[in-house]
Amino acid sequence: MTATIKATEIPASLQQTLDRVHSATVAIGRGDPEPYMRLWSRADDVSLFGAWGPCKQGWDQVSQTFRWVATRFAGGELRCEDLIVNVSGDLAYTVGYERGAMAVDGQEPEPMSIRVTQVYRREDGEWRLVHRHGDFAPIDQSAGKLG
Amino acid sequence: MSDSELEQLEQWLDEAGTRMIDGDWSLWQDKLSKREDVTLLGAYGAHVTGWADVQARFERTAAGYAAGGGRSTHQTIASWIGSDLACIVAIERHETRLDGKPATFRYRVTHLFRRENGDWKMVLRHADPLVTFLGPQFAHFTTQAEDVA
Repeated sequence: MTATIKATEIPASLQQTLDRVHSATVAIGRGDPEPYMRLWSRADDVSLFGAWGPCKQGWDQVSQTFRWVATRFAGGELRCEDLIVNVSGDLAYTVGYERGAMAVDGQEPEPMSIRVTQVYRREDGEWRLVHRHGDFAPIDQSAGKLG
Repeated sequence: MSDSELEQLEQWLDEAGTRMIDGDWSLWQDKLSKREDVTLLGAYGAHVTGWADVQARFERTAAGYAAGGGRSTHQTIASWIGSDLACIVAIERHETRLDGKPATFRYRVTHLFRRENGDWKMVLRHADPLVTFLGPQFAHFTTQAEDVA
């Protein structure tokens, strides 16, 4: 695993939230979306580009999608790897992967690797997720990593 | 960041995208951060971090477009602005040509900008094709070509 690049000092409050997101990601991979959902803003401007396709806006749509996602997971341990953590004022983002051997829709566990960007906003002193962009990282299809 | 600064970045996205699909990545070269955490999660896959690698990837992607012409526009879904960070989430629409025929490609994009020495620089582009959902196994291998004439 590559070391996380942190361009600036990460405040303890944000690190605590990131740690919770890591635990909550494991939980949703086991079928429980509640801990992850608790870490999200309830504001109208939240958005989700999900790995299984959906583009959703607003908490109602976004939370429905997380519940649906959780119903598809039937075991496995989805682990976060943060490659980048950046924060400035009341906005922060992470870039990384979520990986695990995941059982989906009752099938046998298979390796899963999701590329993830997540954006956080501090609301009343609490860091809350406002955006997730996840996709299934294709194997690098270019001619060579650096060409 | 002021509203006018955000508006400038929004305009930049269309101009830079339009030039890119014509094979010219010079606007990206200027706007991308040169720091170690600049990152591209592109449609080719995996991740590329650090200026040297990001530069090489953009160069090759631009060469792939090879003056094909067309137009890139975007529809912003959400944006968040901090003191020195800003995020724009959008659907990017490339009207271009595929095998000589007009084709439109749509991408889901998340862009992060950081103020560096007074200038807004791009620190992240995360883009993947917007697909009609067929199942996880197809999510990255069917690039939507709609409106094909």
